[in-house]
Amino acid sequence: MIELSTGISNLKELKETDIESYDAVYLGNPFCIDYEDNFLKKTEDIQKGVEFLKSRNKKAYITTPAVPRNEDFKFIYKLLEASVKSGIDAVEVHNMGVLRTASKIVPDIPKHIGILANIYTSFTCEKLKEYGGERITTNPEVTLDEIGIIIDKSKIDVSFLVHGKIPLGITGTCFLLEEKAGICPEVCKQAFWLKSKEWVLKNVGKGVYSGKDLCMIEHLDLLLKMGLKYFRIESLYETPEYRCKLGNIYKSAFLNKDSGRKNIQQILKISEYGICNGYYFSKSGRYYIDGENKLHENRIFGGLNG
Amino acid sequence: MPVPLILAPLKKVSRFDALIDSGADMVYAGYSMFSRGGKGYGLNYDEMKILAEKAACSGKKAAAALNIIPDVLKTEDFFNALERLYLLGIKDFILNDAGLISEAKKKVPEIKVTASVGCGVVNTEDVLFFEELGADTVVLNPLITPNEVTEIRGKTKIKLELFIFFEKEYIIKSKCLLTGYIKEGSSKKGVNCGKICAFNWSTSGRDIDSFFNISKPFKSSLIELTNYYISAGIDIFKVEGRNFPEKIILKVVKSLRQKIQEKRND
Repeated sequence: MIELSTGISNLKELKETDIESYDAVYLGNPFCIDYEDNFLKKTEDIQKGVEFLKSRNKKAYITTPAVPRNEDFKFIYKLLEASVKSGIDAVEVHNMGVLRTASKIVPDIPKHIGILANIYTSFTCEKLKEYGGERITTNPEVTLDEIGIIIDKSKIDVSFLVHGKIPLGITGTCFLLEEKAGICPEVCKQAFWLKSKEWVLKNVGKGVYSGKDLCMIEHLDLLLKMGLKYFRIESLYETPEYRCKLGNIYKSAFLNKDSGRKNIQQILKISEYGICNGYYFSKSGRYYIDGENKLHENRIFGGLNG
Repeated sequence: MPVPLILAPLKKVSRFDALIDSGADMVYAGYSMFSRGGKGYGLNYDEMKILAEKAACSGKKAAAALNIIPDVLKTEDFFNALERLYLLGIKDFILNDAGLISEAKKKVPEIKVTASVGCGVVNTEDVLFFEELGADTVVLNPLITPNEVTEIRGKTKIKLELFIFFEKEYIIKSKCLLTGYIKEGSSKKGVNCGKICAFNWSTSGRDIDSFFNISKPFKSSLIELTNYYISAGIDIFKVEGRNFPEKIILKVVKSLRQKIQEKRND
């Protein structure tokens, strides 16, 4: 059985999103605790978020800060305690210190190791199982071949980023506030595209994403053959419409076992700067390899003209 | 108060004495097969052998940096290389992955392992995690303040190391994937950092000069805070070296030695 999940930062965005196509939601924004009404800080909303999801038969996971300093742990303890009380199904961690803390404070809640935790090797997966890690998301730089070996050697569940902008980095301070681009918390709701030559990135204040959307719609057969069953669409800084549309496309593709070019045009309308495969095929992260194994390097893979 | 050591980068084995004479207590060198810095960077096996001999004669330590994440098919080569270097006399290793650290300590329990800055240590719990893993030293992210070091010091006996002079980066050390997105290959896996953050990036409707653009010079220094970090409990001050000329490294080491001496005399 497939699980399709996504991440949503706060209760308002959760309620605005049609999550019918999703099986699970990761609550909270791990990049910035100060994101407006972030579940990670406004912990009184966690219960409401969990109830909203459970009433729709969805799994409710909570994420945690990706780069927490010592002073952030007072939030983290509160967050973990609130999560236990609300009946959360799993805690996602992106930091080893948070994993260690969670393994002590909420030992009975499954731990998912997130994409920002720098998981590259099966050796690391083995160690993290000792701290309650039950599911891992490898670093975006890990190739499909390497993911296959990790699955084989460490026998751990793998959550796979199947669509969305690739998180390429986190900063200690908010770039948008430093550049006086606006006021917190409204400023990161706008899209800030960074461009240099033919390259495009997206800056979200304390994080940098790829400009293109990673898209594996044409390779779902391959992914399923690898034994993958947990799929994630990255949509933290996207609109509810984006979440809904991508969720529908992928859920339909999984259910109907159809993928391929018929979805591409639809996806390109949603992905302003085009699509890529990330690092999955050992190429530059911004390239796209289609279902016929043809490599596309163009800035916008559109019109199927390469 | 314990006196912190100065760990300086060695790029050519012939310059070992120059680094020690300028005030370094220890040196570290990338092992060419598994070192960050791109193809051809670091010392090869024969040069590591010479380094081990020089270190033994001088009574100073030399650490080998095997700080890339090896291709999953080359993991066995990685650990074989580590064991060969240990047999040469290199006892200290700098690694960048939790699992590799744990496995290295299992294979060669006698080695001393530093969890390098790529391990992403930014808080006390991180330090305790790597201490439990078996690391002997942890490199703290240079974001960590002296107050935070004091907090960490109070909870652990593991050696704490800090970059006191390093290359400026836009993204937090250990979390940057820009190189692999723009170029082909990961800087964590051995491709030289493309300094993507230093390109001229523009955003619509904005002045391009300062937006997402690390300006030259690319060096960053915490030397003016040396006294505070010493009081807080740092054991080792590390000088980053990959992209700096030797004359800068020697100058930094001398300056740091002087600061430490002054603090000691106070």
